[in-house]
Amino acid sequence: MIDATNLSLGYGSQIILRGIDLHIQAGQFWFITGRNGTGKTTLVRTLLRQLTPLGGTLSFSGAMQDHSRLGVVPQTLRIEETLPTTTAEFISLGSVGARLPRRDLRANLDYALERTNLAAQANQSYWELSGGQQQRARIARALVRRPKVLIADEPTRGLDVEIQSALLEQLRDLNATDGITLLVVSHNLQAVKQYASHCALLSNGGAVALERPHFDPLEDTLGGGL
Amino acid sequence: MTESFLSELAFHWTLYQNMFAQGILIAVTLSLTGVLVVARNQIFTGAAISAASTLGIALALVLAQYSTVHHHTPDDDHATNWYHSDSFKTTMAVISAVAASLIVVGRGRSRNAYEARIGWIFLVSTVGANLLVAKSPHSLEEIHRVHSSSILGAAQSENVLLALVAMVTLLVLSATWRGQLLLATDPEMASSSGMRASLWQWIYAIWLAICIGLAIRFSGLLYTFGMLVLPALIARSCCHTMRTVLIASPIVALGATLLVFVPELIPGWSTGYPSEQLAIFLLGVALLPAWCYQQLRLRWQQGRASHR
Repeated sequence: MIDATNLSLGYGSQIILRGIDLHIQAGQFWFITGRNGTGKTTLVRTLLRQLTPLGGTLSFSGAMQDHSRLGVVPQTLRIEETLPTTTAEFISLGSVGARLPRRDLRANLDYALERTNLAAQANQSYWELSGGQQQRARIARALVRRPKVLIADEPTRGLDVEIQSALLEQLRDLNATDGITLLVVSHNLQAVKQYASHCALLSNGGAVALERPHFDPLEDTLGGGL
Repeated sequence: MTESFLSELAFHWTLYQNMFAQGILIAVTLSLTGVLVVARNQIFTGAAISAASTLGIALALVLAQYSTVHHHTPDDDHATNWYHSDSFKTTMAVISAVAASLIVVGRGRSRNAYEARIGWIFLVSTVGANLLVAKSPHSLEEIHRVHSSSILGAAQSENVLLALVAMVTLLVLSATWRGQLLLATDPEMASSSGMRASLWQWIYAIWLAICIGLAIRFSGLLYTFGMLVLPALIARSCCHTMRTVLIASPIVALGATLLVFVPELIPGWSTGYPSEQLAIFLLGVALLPAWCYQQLRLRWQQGRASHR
């Protein structure tokens, strides 16, 4: 799905990551991890085609070739509480650009609500949801496109440990049951060890691709945590 | 008695029909566009672009004066007539509005830089418009009328143009509503959804400027800015979804416009107050209870969220 060879990434003339080799196949559960400022968001933005690589080759195939089957859960949400919206309306914004008949859009919305256990809250205000439910609504907003690939930038950030676990279980279920390829940016070392099939470990301006069960370098590089 | 009332009504209608149509068309166009302005939290962008349009009208007045002074040959007649026409003022208002809009709305930069640019445009345009015509009492009076929105009155052909703009706004917003809302609230997500976010930002900036530039020339700064933000703010405070905000905003604007303009059409019902200012005052007053309702709702929602 994604083949990166000797990739250099950055902004303008400033290279942040270099020599990256990543080969991501359909159905895998990838984590992108590393300390703050190692270039995780830069890598994600490049995979979303929001940044052009400064060197190397990056090719996409399958669902990554266009945006129609790509779901994204961004790290931050810009909307404010004064913007009135229901859970269903918020989630349906994810179907922008999907070009589907109304009936399919409705079916996809039902699927996203059901897979994130938010069907009961569909007509409630988005702002009535708890922190964990709001995060699930953001994932549902990505799922409403019926994605083959889901990219989530720090989806567990700011959540309680218990809610983090529930959310990661939900992501694992999406990967195992629905066959969605997952790329999750996370600082959570335990989550990486527990859920990842593969991991891109970013450090010292480069990236190392690891495959389960060979996750030992995570401990060596990141030591006592991130 | 009835006959004389009807003949007076017909006379009032002939006198005010263009003003009536114009007030309604501007209210609908701006209140629809304003939903996006409010969703983007760019309320003062409207004020800055409105002020820039006023500067455009002042420039038009100065150029008209200049063309009269330097009018030498009969060949100059055509150009001089154009400089003195309402179309020239409208064109200059729209050009200034587009220039201002491209400066402030264009690409997403930091919030501080964005607000600084808005403040700069507002101040320079407002002061510039007054200074440009300061030595010409007639032009100065026209600029004051633009500022205070006491100038309603358009030809039928101009109403056709306003109707066209209102229709395009309605059609484009209805067809691309979900995308526009996503772009307004989460541009990165819109971009990663395959939407041409950058192109749409420019289209939005230019269209907003065209709507404001046209409205300013016909109805002045207060009515334009008021109709752009107040109906959308009232609708946002009272509605449950953004889709209903899109429907409610023009209804609120129409309601205020009809409430103020209809008495002008009926003999003996005129309030004697400037209609445009009265409409904006009514909307401003209506926003207060809407805000109270919004605060109560937000508190209730926060309570529900913390109990989950």
